[in-house]
Amino acid sequence: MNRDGSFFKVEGLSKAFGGLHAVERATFRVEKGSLTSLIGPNGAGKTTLFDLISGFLTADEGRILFQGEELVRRKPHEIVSLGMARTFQHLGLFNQLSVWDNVFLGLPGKRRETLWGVFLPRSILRREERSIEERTREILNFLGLHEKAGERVANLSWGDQKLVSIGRLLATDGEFLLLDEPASGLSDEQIEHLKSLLRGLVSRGKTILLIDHNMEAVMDISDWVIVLNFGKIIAEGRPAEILANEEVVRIYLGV
Amino acid sequence: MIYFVYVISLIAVYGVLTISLNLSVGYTGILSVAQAAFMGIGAYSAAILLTQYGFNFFSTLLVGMAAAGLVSWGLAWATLRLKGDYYVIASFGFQIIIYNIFLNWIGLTRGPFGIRQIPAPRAFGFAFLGPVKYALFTLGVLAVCLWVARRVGESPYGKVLRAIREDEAAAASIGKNVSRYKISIFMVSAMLASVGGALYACLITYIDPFTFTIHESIFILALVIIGGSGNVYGSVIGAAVLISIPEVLRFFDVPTTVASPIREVLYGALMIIFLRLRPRGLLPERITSGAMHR
Repeated sequence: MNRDGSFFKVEGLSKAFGGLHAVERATFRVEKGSLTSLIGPNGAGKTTLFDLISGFLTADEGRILFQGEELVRRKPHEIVSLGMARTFQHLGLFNQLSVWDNVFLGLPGKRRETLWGVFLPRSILRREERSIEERTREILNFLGLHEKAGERVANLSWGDQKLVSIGRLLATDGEFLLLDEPASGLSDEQIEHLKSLLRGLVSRGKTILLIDHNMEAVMDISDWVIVLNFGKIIAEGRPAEILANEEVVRIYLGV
Repeated sequence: MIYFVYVISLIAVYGVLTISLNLSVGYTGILSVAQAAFMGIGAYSAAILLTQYGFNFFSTLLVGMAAAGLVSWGLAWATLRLKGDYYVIASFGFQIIIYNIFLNWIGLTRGPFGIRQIPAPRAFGFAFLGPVKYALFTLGVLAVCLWVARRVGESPYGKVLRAIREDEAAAASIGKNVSRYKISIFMVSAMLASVGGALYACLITYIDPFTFTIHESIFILALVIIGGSGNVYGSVIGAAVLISIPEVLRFFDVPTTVASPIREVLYGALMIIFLRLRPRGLLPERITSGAMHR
Protein backbone atom coordinates (compact mmCIF):
# COMPACT_ATOMS: atom_id res chain seq x y z
CA MET A 1 0.00 0.00 0.00
CA ASN A 2 1.27 3.44 -0.89
CA ARG A 3 1.33 5.35 2.38
CA ASP A 4 2.00 8.90 1.22
CA GLY A 5 -0.52 10.34 3.72
CA SER A 6 -2.00 12.88 1.34
CA PHE A 7 -5.53 11.88 2.33
CA PHE A 8 -5.37 12.17 6.10
CA LYS A 9 -2.53 12.65 8.54
CA VAL A 10 -2.00 13.54 12.15
CA GLU A 11 1.32 15.07 13.17
CA GLY A 12 2.61 15.45 16.72
CA LEU A 13 -0.88 15.74 18.17
CA SER A 14 -1.10 16.24 21.93
CA LYS A 15 -3.87 16.83 24.41
CA ALA A 16 -3.60 17.00 28.17
CA PHE A 17 -6.28 17.35 30.83
CA GLY A 18 -4.43 18.94 33.72
CA GLY A 19 -1.54 16.60 34.44
CA LEU A 20 -3.00 13.73 32.41
CA HIS A 21 -1.58 13.37 28.91
CA ALA A 22 -4.53 11.81 27.11
CA VAL A 23 -2.82 11.98 23.72
CA GLU A 24 0.91 12.57 23.41
CA ARG A 25 2.67 13.48 20.15
CA ALA A 26 0.55 11.13 18.07
CA THR A 27 1.60 10.88 14.44
CA PHE A 28 -0.06 8.61 11.89
CA ARG A 29 -1.60 8.48 8.42
CA VAL A 30 -4.74 7.02 6.93
CA GLU A 31 -4.80 6.04 3.29
CA LYS A 32 -7.75 6.80 1.05
CA GLY A 33 -9.97 3.78 0.55
CA SER A 34 -8.55 1.86 3.51
CA LEU A 35 -9.98 0.56 6.76
CA THR A 36 -7.63 1.56 9.56
CA SER A 37 -8.26 0.50 13.15
CA LEU A 38 -7.18 2.24 16.29
CA ILE A 39 -6.81 -0.18 19.18
CA GLY A 40 -5.59 0.02 22.75
CA PRO A 41 -6.67 -0.73 26.29
CA ASN A 42 -9.36 1.31 28.05
CA GLY A 43 -8.10 4.82 28.77
CA ALA A 44 -5.47 4.66 26.03
CA GLY A 45 -6.77 7.90 24.48
CA LYS A 46 -8.60 6.49 21.45
CA THR A 47 -11.86 8.40 21.89
CA THR A 48 -9.95 11.56 22.83
CA LEU A 49 -8.11 11.21 19.54
CA PHE A 50 -11.48 10.90 17.73
CA ASP A 51 -12.74 13.98 19.57
CA LEU A 52 -9.66 15.92 18.48
CA ILE A 53 -9.96 14.83 14.86
CA SER A 54 -13.69 15.60 14.68
CA GLY A 55 -13.39 19.02 16.34
CA PHE A 56 -15.07 18.23 19.66
CA LEU A 57 -11.79 18.90 21.46
CA THR A 58 -9.01 21.30 20.53
CA ALA A 59 -5.46 19.97 20.45
CA ASP A 60 -2.80 21.57 22.63
CA GLU A 61 -0.29 21.10 19.84
CA GLY A 62 0.16 19.28 16.56
CA ARG A 63 -1.62 19.22 13.23
CA ILE A 64 -4.47 17.29 11.66
CA LEU A 65 -4.60 17.44 7.88
CA PHE A 66 -7.51 16.13 5.85
CA GLN A 67 -6.98 16.36 2.10
CA GLY A 68 -4.60 19.24 2.71
CA GLU A 69 -6.99 21.15 5.03
CA GLU A 70 -5.90 21.87 8.59
CA LEU A 71 -8.61 20.71 11.01
CA VAL A 72 -7.29 21.95 14.35
CA ARG A 73 -9.59 24.70 15.71
CA ARG A 74 -12.28 23.95 13.16
CA LYS A 75 -15.77 23.40 14.51
CA PRO A 76 -17.38 19.95 14.21
CA HIS A 77 -19.95 21.07 11.61
CA GLU A 78 -17.20 22.62 9.47
CA ILE A 79 -15.28 19.36 9.55
CA VAL A 80 -18.38 17.46 8.42
CA SER A 81 -18.73 19.84 5.50
CA LEU A 82 -15.19 18.88 4.43
CA GLY A 83 -16.28 15.24 4.12
CA MET A 84 -15.52 13.65 7.48
CA ALA A 85 -18.10 12.35 9.94
CA ARG A 86 -18.14 10.24 13.09
CA THR A 87 -20.25 8.05 15.34
CA PHE A 88 -20.16 7.99 19.12
CA GLN A 89 -19.53 5.17 21.55
CA HIS A 90 -22.84 6.09 23.25
CA LEU A 91 -24.42 6.39 19.75
CA GLY A 92 -25.87 9.87 20.40
CA LEU A 93 -29.03 9.12 18.45
CA PHE A 94 -32.06 11.38 18.49
CA ASN A 95 -34.04 8.91 20.56
CA GLN A 96 -37.42 10.60 20.44
CA LEU A 97 -37.31 10.90 16.65
CA SER A 98 -37.99 8.14 14.16
CA VAL A 99 -35.43 6.00 12.34
CA TRP A 100 -36.34 7.89 9.17
CA ASP A 101 -35.77 11.28 10.78
CA ASN A 102 -32.44 10.24 12.25
CA VAL A 103 -31.11 9.29 8.84
CA PHE A 104 -32.94 12.11 7.02
CA LEU A 105 -31.35 14.67 9.36
CA GLY A 106 -27.89 13.40 8.50
CA LEU A 107 -28.29 14.43 4.87
CA PRO A 108 -26.83 17.84 4.17
CA GLY A 109 -29.59 20.46 4.11
CA LYS A 110 -29.40 23.69 2.24
CA ARG A 111 -32.35 26.03 1.97
CA ARG A 112 -34.78 23.61 3.53
CA GLU A 113 -33.05 23.60 6.92
CA THR A 114 -32.73 27.35 7.30
CA LEU A 115 -35.15 29.55 9.18
CA TRP A 116 -36.08 31.19 5.87
CA GLY A 117 -36.76 27.75 4.44
CA VAL A 118 -39.67 27.47 6.89
CA PHE A 119 -41.52 30.20 5.02
CA LEU A 120 -40.56 29.30 1.48
CA PRO A 121 -43.41 27.74 -0.52
CA ARG A 122 -43.25 23.95 -0.30
CA SER A 123 -43.27 23.70 -4.09
CA ILE A 124 -39.85 25.41 -4.19
CA LEU A 125 -38.36 22.99 -1.69
CA ARG A 126 -40.06 19.92 -3.09
CA ARG A 127 -37.32 19.00 -5.60
CA GLU A 128 -34.63 19.25 -2.92
CA GLU A 129 -36.81 17.20 -0.56
CA ARG A 130 -37.41 14.48 -3.13
CA SER A 131 -33.74 13.76 -3.69
CA ILE A 132 -33.12 13.72 0.06
CA GLU A 133 -36.03 11.36 0.63
CA GLU A 134 -34.74 9.11 -2.12
CA ARG A 135 -31.28 9.02 -0.54
CA THR A 136 -32.78 8.29 2.91
CA ARG A 137 -34.72 5.38 1.42
CA GLU A 138 -31.55 4.03 -0.23
CA ILE A 139 -29.61 4.12 3.03
CA LEU A 140 -32.41 2.45 4.99
CA ASN A 141 -32.66 -0.27 2.35
CA PHE A 142 -28.89 -0.76 2.35
CA LEU A 143 -28.93 -1.26 6.13
CA GLY A 144 -32.12 -3.35 6.12
CA LEU A 145 -33.95 -0.79 8.24
CA HIS A 146 -36.68 0.23 5.83
CA GLU A 147 -39.36 -1.74 7.67
CA LYS A 148 -38.53 0.15 10.85
CA ALA A 149 -38.40 3.62 9.28
CA GLY A 150 -41.36 4.95 11.25
CA GLU A 151 -40.32 3.54 14.62
CA ARG A 152 -39.06 5.75 17.37
CA VAL A 153 -35.35 5.06 17.82
CA ALA A 154 -35.70 4.67 21.60
CA ASN A 155 -37.85 1.57 20.96
CA LEU A 156 -35.24 -0.26 18.85
CA SER A 157 -32.83 -2.99 19.94
CA TRP A 158 -29.20 -2.02 20.58
CA GLY A 159 -28.12 -3.69 17.35
CA ASP A 160 -30.65 -1.75 15.30
CA GLN A 161 -29.67 1.46 17.04
CA LYS A 162 -26.08 0.81 15.97
CA LEU A 163 -27.28 0.44 12.40
CA VAL A 164 -29.19 3.71 12.65
CA SER A 165 -26.03 5.45 13.84
CA ILE A 166 -24.20 4.08 10.82
CA GLY A 167 -27.09 5.12 8.58
CA ARG A 168 -26.93 8.65 9.93
CA LEU A 169 -23.19 8.65 9.36
CA LEU A 170 -23.61 7.51 5.75
CA ALA A 171 -26.24 10.17 5.21
CA THR A 172 -23.65 12.91 5.76
CA ASP A 173 -22.06 11.65 2.54
CA GLY A 174 -18.63 11.93 4.15
CA GLU A 175 -15.87 10.03 2.44
CA PHE A 176 -13.89 9.62 5.66
CA LEU A 177 -15.87 7.87 8.40
CA LEU A 178 -14.84 7.55 12.03
CA LEU A 179 -16.58 4.76 13.92
CA ASP A 180 -16.26 4.52 17.69
CA GLU A 181 -16.76 0.94 18.91
CA PRO A 182 -19.42 -0.15 16.42
CA ALA A 183 -19.15 -3.82 17.46
CA SER A 184 -19.59 -3.36 21.20
CA GLY A 185 -22.69 -5.05 22.58
CA LEU A 186 -23.48 -6.87 19.34
CA SER A 187 -24.07 -10.62 18.96
CA ASP A 188 -21.71 -12.77 16.86
CA GLU A 189 -24.21 -12.75 14.04
CA GLN A 190 -24.58 -8.97 14.16
CA ILE A 191 -20.79 -8.59 14.23
CA GLU A 192 -20.52 -10.66 11.05
CA HIS A 193 -23.13 -8.41 9.44
CA LEU A 194 -21.23 -5.33 10.60
CA LYS A 195 -17.93 -6.64 9.23
CA SER A 196 -19.36 -7.23 5.78
CA LEU A 197 -21.10 -3.84 5.95
CA LEU A 198 -17.86 -2.03 6.73
CA ARG A 199 -15.87 -3.88 4.07
CA GLY A 200 -18.69 -3.10 1.65
CA LEU A 201 -18.38 0.59 2.43
CA VAL A 202 -14.63 0.49 1.81
CA SER A 203 -15.19 -1.25 -1.51
CA ARG A 204 -17.60 1.58 -2.38
CA GLY A 205 -14.76 4.07 -1.91
CA LYS A 206 -15.22 5.14 1.71
CA THR A 207 -12.25 5.44 4.05
CA ILE A 208 -12.80 4.23 7.60
CA LEU A 209 -11.00 4.85 10.86
CA LEU A 210 -12.34 2.47 13.48
CA ILE A 211 -12.01 2.07 17.23
CA ASP A 212 -12.97 -1.32 18.63
CA HIS A 213 -12.08 -3.80 21.34
CA ASN A 214 -13.13 -6.86 19.38
CA MET A 215 -9.66 -7.99 18.27
CA GLU A 216 -10.92 -10.80 16.08
CA ALA A 217 -13.16 -8.47 14.10
CA VAL A 218 -10.54 -5.74 13.92
CA MET A 219 -7.82 -8.07 12.65
CA ASP A 220 -10.24 -9.61 10.20
CA ILE A 221 -11.33 -6.47 8.42
CA SER A 222 -8.51 -3.93 8.87
CA ASP A 223 -5.95 -2.95 6.27
CA TRP A 224 -3.84 -1.18 8.86
CA VAL A 225 -3.83 -1.18 12.66
CA ILE A 226 -2.54 1.53 15.00
CA VAL A 227 -1.98 0.69 18.67
CA LEU A 228 -2.32 3.36 21.32
CA ASN A 229 -1.28 3.01 24.96
CA PHE A 230 -1.30 5.78 27.59
CA GLY A 231 -1.84 8.33 24.82
CA LYS A 232 1.16 7.25 22.75
CA ILE A 233 1.26 5.28 19.53
CA ILE A 234 3.34 2.22 20.36
CA ALA A 235 2.95 0.25 17.14
CA GLU A 236 1.35 0.29 13.71
CA GLY A 237 1.26 -2.08 10.81
CA ARG A 238 -0.73 -4.71 8.98
CA PRO A 239 -2.90 -6.92 11.22
CA ALA A 240 -0.46 -9.86 11.03
CA GLU A 241 2.42 -7.61 12.05
CA ILE A 242 0.47 -6.26 15.01
CA LEU A 243 -0.49 -9.76 16.13
CA ALA A 244 3.18 -10.69 16.08
CA ASN A 245 4.25 -7.60 18.03
CA GLU A 246 5.39 -8.66 21.50
CA GLU A 247 4.67 -5.34 23.17
CA VAL A 248 1.10 -5.32 21.86
CA VAL A 249 0.58 -8.88 23.06
CA ARG A 250 1.98 -7.94 26.46
CA ILE A 251 -0.35 -4.94 26.77
CA TYR A 252 -3.41 -6.89 25.73
CA LEU A 253 -2.70 -10.17 27.46
CA GLY A 254 -0.64 -8.84 30.35
CA VAL A 255 2.09 -11.41 29.83
CA MET B 1 -70.00 39.19 29.50
CA ILE B 2 -67.38 41.93 29.14
CA TYR B 3 -65.33 40.25 31.81
CA PHE B 4 -65.54 36.92 29.97
CA VAL B 5 -64.33 38.61 26.77
CA TYR B 6 -61.48 40.18 28.72
CA VAL B 7 -60.43 36.72 29.95
CA ILE B 8 -60.50 35.46 26.36
CA SER B 9 -58.14 38.29 25.38
CA LEU B 10 -55.87 37.50 28.30
CA ILE B 11 -55.76 33.82 27.31
CA ALA B 12 -54.88 34.81 23.75
CA VAL B 13 -52.09 37.11 24.96
CA TYR B 14 -50.65 34.42 27.19
CA GLY B 15 -51.13 31.91 24.39
CA VAL B 16 -48.76 34.02 22.28
CA LEU B 17 -46.28 34.28 25.15
CA THR B 18 -46.42 30.55 25.84
CA ILE B 19 -45.95 29.65 22.18
CA SER B 20 -42.97 31.98 22.08
CA LEU B 21 -41.29 30.20 24.98
CA ASN B 22 -42.27 26.78 23.67
CA LEU B 23 -40.12 27.44 20.60
CA SER B 24 -36.98 27.65 22.69
CA VAL B 25 -37.86 25.37 25.64
CA GLY B 26 -40.05 22.77 23.94
CA TYR B 27 -38.60 22.58 20.47
CA THR B 28 -34.93 23.24 21.19
CA GLY B 29 -34.41 22.43 24.87
CA ILE B 30 -33.15 25.92 25.79
CA LEU B 31 -34.55 26.29 29.29
CA SER B 32 -34.90 30.04 29.77
CA VAL B 33 -36.40 32.07 32.60
CA ALA B 34 -36.10 35.40 30.82
CA GLN B 35 -39.27 35.44 28.72
CA ALA B 36 -40.87 38.20 30.80
CA ALA B 37 -37.89 40.42 29.93
CA PHE B 38 -38.65 40.10 26.21
CA MET B 39 -42.36 40.50 26.93
CA GLY B 40 -41.44 43.72 28.75
CA ILE B 41 -39.37 44.98 25.84
CA GLY B 42 -42.40 44.56 23.56
CA ALA B 43 -44.76 46.07 26.10
CA TYR B 44 -42.60 49.13 26.76
CA SER B 45 -41.90 49.64 23.04
CA ALA B 46 -45.63 49.71 22.35
CA ALA B 47 -46.50 51.80 25.42
CA ILE B 48 -43.82 54.45 24.87
CA LEU B 49 -44.29 54.76 21.12
CA LEU B 50 -48.10 54.80 21.32
CA THR B 51 -48.44 57.25 24.22
CA GLN B 52 -45.53 59.61 23.55
CA TYR B 53 -44.86 59.48 19.83
CA GLY B 54 -48.22 58.58 18.32
CA PHE B 55 -46.88 55.59 16.41
CA ASN B 56 -49.14 53.20 14.58
CA PHE B 57 -49.55 49.97 16.62
CA PHE B 58 -48.04 47.78 13.93
CA SER B 59 -44.98 50.03 13.75
CA THR B 60 -44.56 49.64 17.50
CA LEU B 61 -44.78 45.87 17.05
CA LEU B 62 -41.95 46.01 14.51
CA VAL B 63 -39.84 48.24 16.77
CA GLY B 64 -40.47 45.93 19.73
CA MET B 65 -39.60 42.85 17.69
CA ALA B 66 -36.44 44.50 16.41
CA ALA B 67 -35.41 45.53 19.93
CA ALA B 68 -36.18 42.08 21.38
CA GLY B 69 -34.41 40.41 18.46
CA LEU B 70 -31.31 42.53 18.93
CA VAL B 71 -31.18 42.06 22.71
CA SER B 72 -31.82 38.32 22.40
CA TRP B 73 -29.06 38.03 19.81
CA GLY B 74 -26.64 39.64 22.28
CA LEU B 75 -27.80 37.38 25.09
CA ALA B 76 -27.67 34.27 22.92
CA TRP B 77 -24.24 35.09 21.60
CA ALA B 78 -22.93 35.56 25.13
CA THR B 79 -24.64 32.65 26.86
CA LEU B 80 -25.96 29.92 24.59
CA ARG B 81 -22.68 28.03 24.72
CA LEU B 82 -23.42 27.45 28.38
CA LYS B 83 -24.98 24.10 29.11
CA GLY B 84 -28.16 23.24 31.04
CA ASP B 85 -28.24 24.67 34.55
CA TYR B 86 -25.59 27.26 33.78
CA TYR B 87 -27.71 28.71 31.00
CA VAL B 88 -30.78 28.86 33.27
CA ILE B 89 -28.77 30.88 35.79
CA ALA B 90 -27.48 33.19 33.03
CA SER B 91 -31.02 33.80 31.77
CA PHE B 92 -32.09 34.51 35.35
CA GLY B 93 -29.32 37.12 35.59
CA PHE B 94 -30.46 38.68 32.32
CA GLN B 95 -34.05 38.82 33.56
CA ILE B 96 -32.89 40.72 36.66
CA ILE B 97 -30.87 43.18 34.57
CA ILE B 98 -33.79 43.99 32.25
CA TYR B 99 -36.18 44.34 35.18
CA ASN B 100 -33.81 46.84 36.78
CA ILE B 101 -33.55 48.79 33.54
CA PHE B 102 -37.36 49.03 33.40
CA LEU B 103 -37.41 50.11 37.04
CA ASN B 104 -34.57 52.63 37.01
CA TRP B 105 -34.49 54.20 33.55
CA ILE B 106 -37.17 56.61 34.65
CA GLY B 107 -36.65 59.03 31.74
CA LEU B 108 -37.73 56.30 29.32
CA THR B 109 -40.01 53.95 31.25
CA ARG B 110 -41.27 56.24 34.06
CA GLY B 111 -39.91 53.54 36.39
CA PRO B 112 -42.24 52.50 39.20
CA PHE B 113 -44.87 55.07 38.12
CA GLY B 114 -45.56 53.03 35.04
CA ILE B 115 -47.16 54.13 31.78
CA ARG B 116 -50.91 54.78 31.75
CA GLN B 117 -53.62 55.17 29.18
CA ILE B 118 -52.08 52.98 26.54
CA PRO B 119 -54.47 53.20 23.59
CA ALA B 120 -56.04 50.31 21.71
CA PRO B 121 -54.38 49.33 18.44
CA ARG B 122 -55.43 51.04 15.24
CA ALA B 123 -54.88 49.69 11.78
CA PHE B 124 -55.93 50.99 8.40
CA GLY B 125 -58.16 53.61 9.98
CA PHE B 126 -59.88 51.00 12.15
CA ALA B 127 -59.49 51.08 15.93
CA PHE B 128 -59.80 47.85 17.89
CA LEU B 129 -61.70 49.68 20.61
CA GLY B 130 -63.83 47.80 23.08
CA PRO B 131 -63.37 44.36 24.59
CA VAL B 132 -64.95 42.33 21.78
CA LYS B 133 -62.95 43.91 18.97
CA TYR B 134 -59.78 43.65 20.99
CA ALA B 135 -60.48 39.99 21.82
CA LEU B 136 -60.94 39.27 18.12
CA PHE B 137 -57.73 41.11 17.39
CA THR B 138 -55.71 39.14 19.98
CA LEU B 139 -57.22 35.88 18.75
CA GLY B 140 -56.18 36.82 15.22
CA VAL B 141 -52.60 37.46 16.37
CA LEU B 142 -52.67 34.17 18.30
CA ALA B 143 -53.77 32.35 15.14
CA VAL B 144 -50.86 33.86 13.19
CA CYS B 145 -48.40 32.87 15.94
CA LEU B 146 -49.83 29.35 16.00
CA TRP B 147 -49.41 29.09 12.24
CA VAL B 148 -45.80 30.31 12.42
CA ALA B 149 -44.91 27.99 15.31
CA ARG B 150 -46.56 24.99 13.67
CA ARG B 151 -44.81 25.68 10.41
CA VAL B 152 -41.49 25.93 12.24
CA GLY B 153 -42.19 22.69 14.10
CA GLU B 154 -43.08 20.70 11.01
CA SER B 155 -40.26 22.02 8.86
CA PRO B 156 -36.81 20.45 8.41
CA TYR B 157 -35.54 23.45 10.39
CA GLY B 158 -37.79 22.37 13.28
CA LYS B 159 -36.51 18.80 12.99
CA VAL B 160 -32.97 20.08 13.42
CA LEU B 161 -34.08 22.00 16.51
CA ARG B 162 -35.50 18.80 17.99
CA ALA B 163 -32.30 16.97 17.14
CA ILE B 164 -30.35 19.65 19.01
CA ARG B 165 -32.69 19.21 21.97
CA GLU B 166 -32.02 15.45 21.94
CA ASP B 167 -28.23 15.64 21.64
CA GLU B 168 -26.29 18.77 20.71
CA ALA B 169 -23.01 16.96 20.07
CA ALA B 170 -24.71 14.44 17.81
CA ALA B 171 -26.37 17.25 15.85
CA ALA B 172 -22.97 18.91 15.39
CA SER B 173 -21.50 15.57 14.33
CA ILE B 174 -23.81 15.48 11.31
CA GLY B 175 -22.85 18.96 10.22
CA LYS B 176 -25.47 21.11 11.91
CA ASN B 177 -24.25 24.51 13.07
CA VAL B 178 -25.78 24.20 16.53
CA SER B 179 -24.95 27.75 17.67
CA ARG B 180 -26.58 29.28 14.61
CA TYR B 181 -29.77 27.26 15.10
CA LYS B 182 -29.97 28.08 18.79
CA ILE B 183 -29.38 31.78 18.24
CA SER B 184 -31.95 31.99 15.43
CA ILE B 185 -34.76 30.23 17.33
CA PHE B 186 -33.95 32.17 20.48
CA MET B 187 -34.36 35.39 18.52
CA VAL B 188 -37.67 34.24 17.02
CA SER B 189 -38.84 33.26 20.50
CA ALA B 190 -37.89 36.68 21.92
CA MET B 191 -39.55 38.53 19.03
CA LEU B 192 -42.82 36.63 19.50
CA ALA B 193 -42.66 37.33 23.24
CA SER B 194 -42.36 41.04 22.43
CA VAL B 195 -45.56 40.75 20.37
CA GLY B 196 -47.25 39.16 23.39
CA GLY B 197 -45.94 42.03 25.53
CA ALA B 198 -47.34 44.68 23.18
CA LEU B 199 -50.74 42.96 23.17
CA TYR B 200 -50.64 42.79 26.95
CA ALA B 201 -49.85 46.50 27.27
CA CYS B 202 -52.81 47.47 25.06
CA LEU B 203 -55.13 45.06 26.87
CA ILE B 204 -54.36 46.23 30.40
CA THR B 205 -53.74 49.85 29.22
CA TYR B 206 -51.18 50.28 31.99
CA ILE B 207 -47.76 48.76 32.54
CA ASP B 208 -45.08 49.02 35.17
CA PRO B 209 -41.87 47.04 35.78
CA PHE B 210 -43.48 44.80 38.40
CA THR B 211 -45.27 42.83 35.71
CA PHE B 212 -42.03 41.76 34.01
CA THR B 213 -40.31 39.94 36.83
CA ILE B 214 -38.86 36.48 37.26
CA HIS B 215 -42.29 35.41 38.61
CA GLU B 216 -43.83 36.17 35.26
CA SER B 217 -41.07 34.27 33.43
CA ILE B 218 -41.64 31.24 35.64
CA PHE B 219 -45.40 31.55 35.15
CA ILE B 220 -44.95 31.44 31.35
CA LEU B 221 -42.63 28.45 31.78
CA ALA B 222 -45.34 26.76 33.87
CA LEU B 223 -47.82 27.32 31.03
CA VAL B 224 -45.42 25.59 28.63
CA ILE B 225 -44.89 22.61 30.93
CA ILE B 226 -48.54 22.16 31.87
CA GLY B 227 -49.77 22.68 28.31
CA GLY B 228 -47.22 20.30 26.82
CA SER B 229 -43.63 21.11 26.04
CA GLY B 230 -43.04 20.90 22.29
CA ASN B 231 -46.73 21.10 21.37
CA VAL B 232 -47.94 24.54 20.29
CA TYR B 233 -51.60 23.68 20.76
CA GLY B 234 -50.68 22.60 24.26
CA SER B 235 -49.39 26.13 24.84
CA VAL B 236 -52.83 27.56 24.10
CA ILE B 237 -54.53 24.93 26.28
CA GLY B 238 -52.03 25.56 29.07
CA ALA B 239 -52.70 29.30 28.89
CA ALA B 240 -56.47 28.73 28.85
CA VAL B 241 -56.38 26.44 31.89
CA LEU B 242 -54.00 28.43 34.05
CA ILE B 243 -55.49 31.82 33.23
CA SER B 244 -59.11 30.76 33.67
CA ILE B 245 -58.90 28.54 36.77
CA PRO B 246 -57.86 31.33 39.17
CA GLU B 247 -60.39 33.67 37.59
CA VAL B 248 -63.05 31.41 39.09
CA LEU B 249 -61.99 32.77 42.49
CA ARG B 250 -63.50 36.11 41.51
CA PHE B 251 -66.97 34.59 41.63
CA PHE B 252 -66.50 33.73 45.28
CA ASP B 253 -66.29 36.27 47.99
CA VAL B 254 -62.52 36.04 48.34
CA PRO B 255 -60.68 39.28 49.17
CA THR B 256 -58.00 40.30 46.66
CA THR B 257 -55.29 40.05 49.32
CA VAL B 258 -56.20 36.39 49.78
CA ALA B 259 -56.98 35.55 46.14
CA SER B 260 -53.54 36.52 44.94
CA PRO B 261 -51.61 34.15 47.24
CA ILE B 262 -54.17 31.40 46.55
CA ARG B 263 -53.48 31.84 42.84
CA GLU B 264 -49.73 31.50 43.42
CA VAL B 265 -50.24 28.38 45.55
CA LEU B 266 -52.52 26.93 42.90
CA TYR B 267 -49.92 27.49 40.16
CA GLY B 268 -47.20 25.94 42.28
CA ALA B 269 -49.34 22.93 43.15
CA LEU B 270 -50.33 22.39 39.52
CA MET B 271 -46.68 22.54 38.47
CA ILE B 272 -45.73 19.88 41.02
CA ILE B 273 -48.70 17.68 40.11
CA PHE B 274 -47.97 17.86 36.41
CA LEU B 275 -44.24 17.31 36.73
CA ARG B 276 -44.93 14.32 38.96
CA LEU B 277 -47.90 12.72 37.19
CA ARG B 278 -47.99 14.08 33.66
CA PRO B 279 -44.57 15.48 32.81
CA ARG B 280 -45.37 15.73 29.11
CA GLY B 281 -48.26 18.08 29.82
CA LEU B 282 -51.92 18.21 28.83
CA LEU B 283 -51.15 17.86 25.12
CA PRO B 284 -47.90 15.92 24.77
CA GLU B 285 -45.60 16.55 21.85
CA ARG B 286 -46.53 14.54 18.79
CA ILE B 287 -43.67 12.82 17.05
CA THR B 288 -44.42 12.91 13.34
CA SER B 289 -42.27 9.87 12.86
CA GLY B 290 -41.28 9.27 9.32
CA ALA B 291 -44.40 10.77 7.84
CA MET B 292 -42.44 11.28 4.67
CA HIS B 293 -41.16 7.75 4.33
CA ARG B 294 -44.47 6.33 3.28
